[in-house]
Amino acid sequence: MSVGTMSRKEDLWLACKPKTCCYVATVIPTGRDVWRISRTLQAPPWTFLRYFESPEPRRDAFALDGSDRRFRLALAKQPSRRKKTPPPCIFLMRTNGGHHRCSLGDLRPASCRSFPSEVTQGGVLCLNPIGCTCHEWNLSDVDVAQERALVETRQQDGAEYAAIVARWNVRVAAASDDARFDLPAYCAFLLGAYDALAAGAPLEPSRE
Amino acid sequence: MSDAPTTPCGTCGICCRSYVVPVNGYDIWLISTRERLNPEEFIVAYPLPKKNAESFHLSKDGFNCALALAKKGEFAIERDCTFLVQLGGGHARCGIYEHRPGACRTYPMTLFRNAVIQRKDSRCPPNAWSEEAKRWPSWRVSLKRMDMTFDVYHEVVARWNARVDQSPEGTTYPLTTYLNYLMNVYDRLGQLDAQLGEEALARVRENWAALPEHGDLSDESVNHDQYPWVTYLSAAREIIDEFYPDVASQVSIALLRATANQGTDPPRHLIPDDVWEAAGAKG
Repeated sequence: MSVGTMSRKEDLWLACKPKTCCYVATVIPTGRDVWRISRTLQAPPWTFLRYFESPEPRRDAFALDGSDRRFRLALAKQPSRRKKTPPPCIFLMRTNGGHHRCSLGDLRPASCRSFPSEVTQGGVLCLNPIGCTCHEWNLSDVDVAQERALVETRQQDGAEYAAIVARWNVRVAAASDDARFDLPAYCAFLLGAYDALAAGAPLEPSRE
Repeated sequence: MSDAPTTPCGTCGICCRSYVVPVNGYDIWLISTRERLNPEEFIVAYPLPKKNAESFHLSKDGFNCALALAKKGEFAIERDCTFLVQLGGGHARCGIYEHRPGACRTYPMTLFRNAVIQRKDSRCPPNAWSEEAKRWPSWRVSLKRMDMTFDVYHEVVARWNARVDQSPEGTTYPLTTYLNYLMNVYDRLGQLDAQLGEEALARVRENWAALPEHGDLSDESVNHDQYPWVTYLSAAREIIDEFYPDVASQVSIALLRATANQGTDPPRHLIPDDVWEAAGAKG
């Protein structure tokens, strides 16, 4: 029945009432984030994802047909009637008193867990990006070693996802000219790829 | 990744908009401390038609109230639970799944004659639960834990009510005072549990409220090691009695209940007719 100790960063994050970052930011998950959330919640990925066309080439941008168009995943947003406020993340809960909580908890994407930190020139930096209204972040708010590990995990997951996206894109390119794929098909591929990794299969190198 | 068996609950959410979810002090403390939420953000007190072991009052002649999870917006049975997260495609998911109350954790099962059965009033789609799923050991663990936490809560409530009853005439306490009391008591009870450790707690839970056949624990032939729940209850009551020192120690409702109600069944309306008849039950 005891409550485990939380880091100062977790404390600050949980105590934040408005969770503005969960309204303003578009959360780009890695495939591992999608797999972890989907498998744990037993929810099909398309129930919590949307996709958008990437204006520039990205290593996590996937094809859905033989054209040059590429897309990226994002966590879906809740429907919102407020015109001046961006809609909240689909996983954000709001109590009647206006307190917000992330319903994913420890399952949340690596980009949320490592927010608002980056590793630059070998050092950890706490950024103060637009979107965080509750706090001005600095290194005294975080355990630096832990924060570095979170950012590195995000980077590793990103590289792993890029390799999986590349495999998918090769598959799409090899399909017939008029073949078109949809989001559920891409998500099914992702889940299968990460299931295989979890079962011990090696990550095949990119061939795109 | 979790190794928990796959449940048909997944992203259903029907039950989260079909019931008032009763909660006890342990449920509230767990959610509050894990989610760092003030209990008033997610709890409502609602009036009960008559007094029972979990009903509390805020003044001598005040309503008998119980606590439940809030709903989104105004409190009404058919509204979404305050913690329900609506996903796409009609899917929904509990936003505090890991720390959800015992009533949610055990739904749609109940214990009848020490067997786990599906409640007659459950709203789960037909055949959602296979016979194999009904036999998961986790049901019994959760049902026993809920029995235990509600029995301890009844002791906590009894002390509060005694405190209110001996307050000066005209005193009315705000709900916040009651919730603060709960958070304090359960913080101490949490320390007791931490000292005991999960293994010992599992033994306490497993035979919760069990008594010798003759029901008399004072009998010298009884091996008290077989009834660790009595020792636990006694330790919990010592902690509870530290609050409001001017109030006398109350009779243990849990012990009374265990002694008087050995083999107590859940309410009749929760037992499917065929199970009821097969057990030869009356009433």
